[in-house]
Amino acid sequence: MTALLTVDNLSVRIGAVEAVRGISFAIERGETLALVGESGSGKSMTALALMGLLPRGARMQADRIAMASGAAPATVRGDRAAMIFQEPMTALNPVYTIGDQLMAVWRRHKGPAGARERALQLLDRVAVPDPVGRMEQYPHQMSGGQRQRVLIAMALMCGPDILIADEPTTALDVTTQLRLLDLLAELQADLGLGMLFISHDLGAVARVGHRVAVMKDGAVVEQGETRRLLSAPSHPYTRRLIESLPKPGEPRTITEPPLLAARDLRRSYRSGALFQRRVLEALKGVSLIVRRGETLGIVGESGCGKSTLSRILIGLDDADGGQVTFDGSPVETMVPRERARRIQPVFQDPAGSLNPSWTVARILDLPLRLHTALSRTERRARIESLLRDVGLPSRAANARPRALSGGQRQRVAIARALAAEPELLVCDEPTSALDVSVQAQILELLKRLREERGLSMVFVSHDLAVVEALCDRVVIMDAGTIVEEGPADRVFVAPQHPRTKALKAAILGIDASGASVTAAE
Amino acid sequence: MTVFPESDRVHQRHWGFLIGAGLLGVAAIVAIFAPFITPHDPFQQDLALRLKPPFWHEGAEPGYLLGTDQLGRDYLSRLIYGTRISLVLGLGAVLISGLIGITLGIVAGYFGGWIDTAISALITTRLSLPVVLVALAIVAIVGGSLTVVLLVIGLLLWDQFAVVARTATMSLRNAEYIAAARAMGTSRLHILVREVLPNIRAPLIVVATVEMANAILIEAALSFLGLGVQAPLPSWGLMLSEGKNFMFFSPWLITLPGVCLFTLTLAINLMGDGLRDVQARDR
Amino acid sequence: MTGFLLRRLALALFVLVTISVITFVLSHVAVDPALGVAGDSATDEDIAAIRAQYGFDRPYLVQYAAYIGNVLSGDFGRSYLSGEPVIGLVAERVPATALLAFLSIVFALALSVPLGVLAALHPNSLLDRLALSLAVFGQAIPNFWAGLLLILVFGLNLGWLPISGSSSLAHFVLPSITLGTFAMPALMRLVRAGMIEVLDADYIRTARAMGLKERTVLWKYALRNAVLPVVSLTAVQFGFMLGGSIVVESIFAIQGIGYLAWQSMSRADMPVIQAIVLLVSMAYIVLTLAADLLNAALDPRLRRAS
Repeated sequence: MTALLTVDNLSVRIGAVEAVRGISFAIERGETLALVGESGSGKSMTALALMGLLPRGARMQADRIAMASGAAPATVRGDRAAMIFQEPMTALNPVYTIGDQLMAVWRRHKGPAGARERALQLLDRVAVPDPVGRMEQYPHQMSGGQRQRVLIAMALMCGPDILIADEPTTALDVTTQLRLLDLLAELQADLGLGMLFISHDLGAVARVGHRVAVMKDGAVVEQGETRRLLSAPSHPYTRRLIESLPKPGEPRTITEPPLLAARDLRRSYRSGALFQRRVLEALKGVSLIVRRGETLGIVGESGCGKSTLSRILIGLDDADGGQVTFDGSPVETMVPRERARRIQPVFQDPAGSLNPSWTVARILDLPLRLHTALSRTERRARIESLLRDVGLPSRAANARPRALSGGQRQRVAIARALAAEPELLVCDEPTSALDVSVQAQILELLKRLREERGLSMVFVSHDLAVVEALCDRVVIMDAGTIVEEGPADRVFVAPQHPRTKALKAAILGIDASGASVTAAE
Repeated sequence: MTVFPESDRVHQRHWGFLIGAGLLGVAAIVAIFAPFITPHDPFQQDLALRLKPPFWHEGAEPGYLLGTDQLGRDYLSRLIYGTRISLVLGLGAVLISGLIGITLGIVAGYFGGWIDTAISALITTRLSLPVVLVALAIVAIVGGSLTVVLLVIGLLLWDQFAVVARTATMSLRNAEYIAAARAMGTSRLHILVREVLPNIRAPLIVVATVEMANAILIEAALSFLGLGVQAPLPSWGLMLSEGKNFMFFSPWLITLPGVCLFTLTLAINLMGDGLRDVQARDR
Repeated sequence: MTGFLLRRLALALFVLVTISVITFVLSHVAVDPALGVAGDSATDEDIAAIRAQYGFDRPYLVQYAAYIGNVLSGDFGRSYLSGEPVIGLVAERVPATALLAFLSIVFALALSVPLGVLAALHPNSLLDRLALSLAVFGQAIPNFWAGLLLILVFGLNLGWLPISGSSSLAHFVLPSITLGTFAMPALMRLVRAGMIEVLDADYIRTARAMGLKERTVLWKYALRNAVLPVVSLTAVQFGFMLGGSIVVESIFAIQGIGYLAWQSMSRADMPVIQAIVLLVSMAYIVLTLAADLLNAALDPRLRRAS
């Protein structure tokens, strides 16, 4: 019996880089194969190669890529084989309505009749509210989750045999992600689709994949039934990936006096220029304290106000109302430079947080020149020791950010934050842009540095698992307010507020048997 | 841990850039050493030697390689001195307009809000003014001289610098390294000059090349219309204007200055295009 | 949409007021208008009388208010030379310039859109290099020189086309090519760059993944998005040409506003110059406004419901 899709010895080359090195797999009808790997492992290139969508300059080669009918999926794109992508915000054409774009697929493959009925039926099937109204809308009028549902509907228009989903939920909020994953799994089962599900997230893979193939550096290192592979991985790389998943830490109970206290912070933004004022209340009265030596987690989904809060704490933004006190004195009364020395940020995007024109040495020298009276040679020595502290070799000093990997850049950003020996570190999603194994290293680094230096930390994240791994106490934010607060172990084990419960339920974990688990189940 | 390469930019030969840079280098040398390489005084008239053709025509006058103009002045010498006028004008105008435009653009892009609204309105106003017409009007009122033309063009051509600097700065404004610098307690001046400017340098250099060529062409146009650099200065535009009455029988009077003008602006544009390509490749 | 429109109108109004201040300064402050009205043979008494009669001795603010009042009622003053109302002088010259600018932009678009699209479809191909070379060439060539060469070759040597005047459509061929060459490079680069960017966009990949025909993807999905900035630039270039046609008109002796401006310039006839600058600026503002409205109609993101 031939499989629904057979891939034999597929290779992709981009210039001198071998992105995919001779991989083989097969997908049966009604089966989901999950392709998992970190960035640069070649998993997306594999999907693009199957669909004949490789970027210009990429060359592919394979002994066999065929569906059960013998046709290559690239020749029956949109009809028998369909694909959805990671970025729902940009994947729909901005100048045509949802309806036009859905119907165009049907008309292309099935002729003019019945397009509208099919589009409405599928919008309803993927649980887009008010399908009739949505048909007339443009993509920019919908949320990311809604757009991804539309894209799924578009992929299913002609009732394909195989669906390729490339990181379909990565760009979405965690609770939206869970709903979409479950929708995909349900559609796959109901329609008997063969699905190739590509993800970096082991939790997501465990939830939808029947079988898993682990990719590293363009090759499949291990392949097998999901539970077996996740509970008893045989390849060391798979083991390392699983071990890298954040594990709950041991929250400390700290009774030191507060270092930072925020009281009733309010902030609203006016958007739209002249004549079109809209007011968005980002913070509606937020109060919190951070004790000396404590790590406070701030958790919430996008738009909950956590980034505004962290910007205010760092001093990049001013609250409209309320007060922040640091070490007993209101921050407005502090000399700005003094405040900057004592409170330092670490940002999300390691590619964007370092000035690309400067060398690492110059990047680290700036805070030293601003905040210390050290001589040139003393500063040099300090830069060396900082690099050592964050686990970088001293020759990194002469490199520019572009020559560094994401994890290395984040280490430089941490070194810069620590250069002037601050008391409080405000980390805004510091690991969200990193691969899971790098994330584990950075979390380890932060843990070690906070022990060595007695640092206090505010750790902002959308990812409960990461917060659980690092924080002593957490606050949960929703729509500009704090809805729950408490010691990390208590909040995660026994959440009170529905919002916390929803967030908690959306954490995709793997149990000892390799099965997907969430707190709700 | 990976190795850190000394330089992460792949330098590749870009022929357009090299040709442009080479031609511009030759023009610069010619302009700087003009007094030493001209065979004759460019202002020396000799009516006995009027309208002598260049060496490849019959009846060429020995010693006058590219012939003479309607007043018997050595055309080669005048063309060489014309290089000076064009280069000085191009560089001077770009310095002035670059300073104005980049300052306005960075300030508008970084601070946003009403400052941006005001500067954007200023840019729109400038764009809606017809450059050549306004420059002509001002020169007509003030009187033509190289300095006046340079100042007028410099004060008019800042719009593209401002537009590009503004857009580029806006795209950087929310970059995390800018936030990191602010959170470090640096001054606004430090952020604009040290953090923003070096990172928007590349597109601005391209604008500078385009505007330099533009300024040279506008000067030539003004002089051509008789309201720019005044005779007897050997501006290429003025030479074209003086030569057009004789163009049927002495076509070299318009082909030669035109070729010079075209070659110079082409060289500058080729450099700009080369830089643009290299930037696109580096990204 | 109404907010967008109001904002755009407010900007247009601001620009118009600023331009009117500039033209007022040009015609009333930078030069003494009494001298112009009086003419060369006037005595000091004549000039003083004119100054009082026309109100040129009033404070500038009062004069400016009067100036705006006149302009709004269509009175741009009288030419110093002929004594005729400026508005009539300019109005009879507008058609020639408008026709020249229109033909030039048509020539530029006819060359730049197909070339830009084809170049974008095959980056780094021979065709792409050719298109880019043409752009560099068009950018570098001085348009008055190009005009002279065209006259020399097609007018004087070959005798195919008329080289002077604006009495027939044939008279506009060489000038339109000259002026169109000036607008072509920017348009072509924008079409090419826009098309390359759009072809790289996620939604184009989606369209291809859905198996849409390449023809549909290119001409329906991609071009519609790539054309948005081109609409704006076309309006901008059209505006530039109305003001930039002065050189071309003077070479080809086309009886348009540019030629009129040049003639007035050499005799310091400021009322005429002032009126032309004001009119060209207004045309630019109206054109860009129209382009923005057209873009709003083409791009649903710009007309979000309020």
